[in-house]
Amino acid sequence: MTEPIATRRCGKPGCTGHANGVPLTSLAPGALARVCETCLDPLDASMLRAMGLRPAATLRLCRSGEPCVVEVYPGSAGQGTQCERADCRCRIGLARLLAERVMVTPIDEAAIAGAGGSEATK
Amino acid sequence: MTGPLRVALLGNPNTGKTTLFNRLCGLRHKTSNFPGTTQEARVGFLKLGESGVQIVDLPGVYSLELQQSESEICRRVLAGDLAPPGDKAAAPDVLCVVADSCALHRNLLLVGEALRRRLPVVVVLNMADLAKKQGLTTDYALLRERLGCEVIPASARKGDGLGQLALAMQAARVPNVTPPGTQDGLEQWADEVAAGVMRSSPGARRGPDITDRLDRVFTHPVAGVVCFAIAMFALFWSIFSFAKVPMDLISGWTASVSDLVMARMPEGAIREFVAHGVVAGIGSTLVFLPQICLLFFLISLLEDTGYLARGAFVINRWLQPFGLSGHAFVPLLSSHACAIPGIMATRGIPDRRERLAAILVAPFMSCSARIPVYVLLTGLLFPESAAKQALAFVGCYALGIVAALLSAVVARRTLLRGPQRPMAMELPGYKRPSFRTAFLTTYDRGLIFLKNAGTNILAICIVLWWLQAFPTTQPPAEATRLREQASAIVHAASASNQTPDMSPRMPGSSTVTASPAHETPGPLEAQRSGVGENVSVSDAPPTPDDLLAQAKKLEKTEALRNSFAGRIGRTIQPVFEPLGYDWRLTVGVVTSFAAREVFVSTMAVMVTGSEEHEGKDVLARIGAGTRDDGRTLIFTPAASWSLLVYYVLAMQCLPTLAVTAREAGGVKWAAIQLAWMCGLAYVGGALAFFLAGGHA
Ligand SMILES: Nc1nc2c(ncn2[C@@H]2O[C@H](COP(=O)(O)OP(=O)(O)OP(=O)(O)O)[C@@H](O)[C@H]2O)c(=O)[nH]1
Ligand SMILES: [Mg+2]
Repeated sequence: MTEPIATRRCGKPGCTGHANGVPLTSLAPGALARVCETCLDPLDASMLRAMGLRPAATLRLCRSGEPCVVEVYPGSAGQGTQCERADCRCRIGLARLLAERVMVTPIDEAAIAGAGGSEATK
Repeated sequence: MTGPLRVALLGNPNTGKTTLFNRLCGLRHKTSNFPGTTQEARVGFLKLGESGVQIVDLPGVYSLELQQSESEICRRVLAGDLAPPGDKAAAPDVLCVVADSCALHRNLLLVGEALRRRLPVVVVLNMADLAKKQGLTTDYALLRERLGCEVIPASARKGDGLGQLALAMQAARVPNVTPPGTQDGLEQWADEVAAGVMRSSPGARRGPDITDRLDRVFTHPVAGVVCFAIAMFALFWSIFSFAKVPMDLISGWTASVSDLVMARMPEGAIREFVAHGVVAGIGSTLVFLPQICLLFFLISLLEDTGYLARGAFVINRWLQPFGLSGHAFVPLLSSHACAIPGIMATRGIPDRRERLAAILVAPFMSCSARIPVYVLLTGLLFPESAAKQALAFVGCYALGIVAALLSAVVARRTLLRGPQRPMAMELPGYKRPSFRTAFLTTYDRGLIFLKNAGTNILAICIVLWWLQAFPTTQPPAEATRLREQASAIVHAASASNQTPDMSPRMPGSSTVTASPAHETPGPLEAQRSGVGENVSVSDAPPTPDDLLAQAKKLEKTEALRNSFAGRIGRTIQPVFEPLGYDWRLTVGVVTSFAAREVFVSTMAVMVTGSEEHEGKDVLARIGAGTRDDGRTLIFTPAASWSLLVYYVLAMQCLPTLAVTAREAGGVKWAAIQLAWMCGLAYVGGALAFFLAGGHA
């Protein structure tokens, strides 16, 4: 996390940069990441949060572009409460406009490989 | 306890609530593998114990606290101030939360919210069959302890665990656990509970590869569109190609029943009524049963695969320029079966303005009730070429879609201006579609259609038959003169002891025998032009039975013109003059305002009530009907084109208008829809008539 804040801009018009994370859309497909914050209208934010895309949630980017497809894992990776199984999670399709406003921190796969999250290497 | 136990089924979208509801109540409401299928609270009844259990199926929600119409409905039903249709409002006695065993962590958020309501709760872990297949196990005893309420594993699709569930509902009590009230606290609680109770057997992991790969293809900017086009093409192509054989069969049966009636029943008003009012009316409606069944069957199968949520994202890009989003796709697709479920499904569109726009344009989609009219008209326009018929058919669907999209732009630029919300939607897992579900949906929709044919359409046919058969009027002077002329020839012939020129067809029996002259407008037909014209112009003197047939035809035409239907039709007809409709078509169009499919049966009654075309199938009979001059076809090509365009665009469905008013929240919207669609249809119809050479 050494990049300057200015480069960590989300897709919100006029965004001046975020202290943490990078936009979801800047990840490569297959990457694992943790949600830091979302920079969305309250309506969209509450909807996504109820669907499972909430701060500290772990996710895997399955497809980037229009639309983005993410798979949300339960719990927070690396905190001992995760349930890193292939079937214990849900898939959400997001318009690019939404995805680029979700700030995430990439997760080092090795850190959670022991917990069974290694399919991200595909 | 007095009255039945009231149980509400609450749960995330697509967890199988409706499947469970249908299993429990023996009902068949629509289910599909698409989040947001149920949009209305519905009531069913389960016979159990003394007073039974009343079950309410609610729309799926991610949370009860969202600003969203589904959440709102659930909140109000739980609070007891919204009653499902046909029921008194009262809070449920038991909350039955349906959770997906395969995504427990997320489902637990809603379970937590339900537990906080202080109502007796039962949690159903549905899709237990899937969880087992995927090697997921749940510690039910621990989960019961953590939730403080009964937890029942079940598989709604297979019917497992239902007996246990029914008992648990009766024994349900208020949970002794209160999850945290804040969103953060609730999330943490759900994570902890899920992590504690879920186990996966090692090695049973089903990699996400296949889903990932399919998703990549189906949402790809190019491949996704190709798949989408193939899916839609296959859907509509199968409907029309597979329906052909059963349609021909039904059509043939109707013709034989009609002939049988004509042959067996004694001549008179009752025979006319049965053959022309009842058989023709119902037969012309029944012909379309196969297509309508196929449509529902295939859409149900497609929905159940889980593909449609991906299709919605593909089409999102294409809908955006028109002010709609992918959320509108499934509502608009299901409007091709019927606009009413389509409009109901718009509740899944989160943006209010977009939702209103989708409601307004949904009825432009060619619903199954238009199929009969399309079949009739394309068949008349291109009797020789099945390929051209198919093309014209596709054209109708395309015209409806284009009209819908352009109308959506107009609405979004004027009445419903506002920013567009980007799309987010859960992507359900791919599933093998359930044929059982598809068959049941089809069976139900087919039954509804048949019931409609047996009641409303039959009633309209009977009324119409009566309107066109009465009042009986004096035969026109011309006909009386012809009859006298005929009998004079017969008398003269017998007086001079010659054999009168009698053809094998006895004039008196002409109601039974087919008269080829009516089928193809031949020279004889041309000779009989005009009501008041002098008919004997050829060199050969007319034979008596020719004269009698002419007289009969004149009488029939005159009787129909002066009947109630004729008077009504002729009064309104000037309105439809620019579209090229005679008064018969006008009656057909006007009766269609009750329901479009009535058009074909109306025309069947009006045409076969006045002319004889026995031995042909009912559609051909309608096509051969002539206007008052006895020569011009009712369905001239220009008028047929005009009708086709008119029926694609017009709003002719009272139930849809009622649903629009209810769903859009005001009669105003239904009025706008009616005026806009009918205005467009009128202009389009007139234009089509003009372009097809109607005024030449
Ligand atoms: N394998 C399996 N599939 C199921 C089970 N129950 C339901 N399904 C399937 O899950 C899908 C969703 O079922 P629905 O009953 O429409 O779900 P719902 O909760 O009513 O959905 P919404 O009305 O959208 O909230 C359908 O494809 C069902 O066939 C089950 O126990 N096992
Ligand atoms: Mg449902």
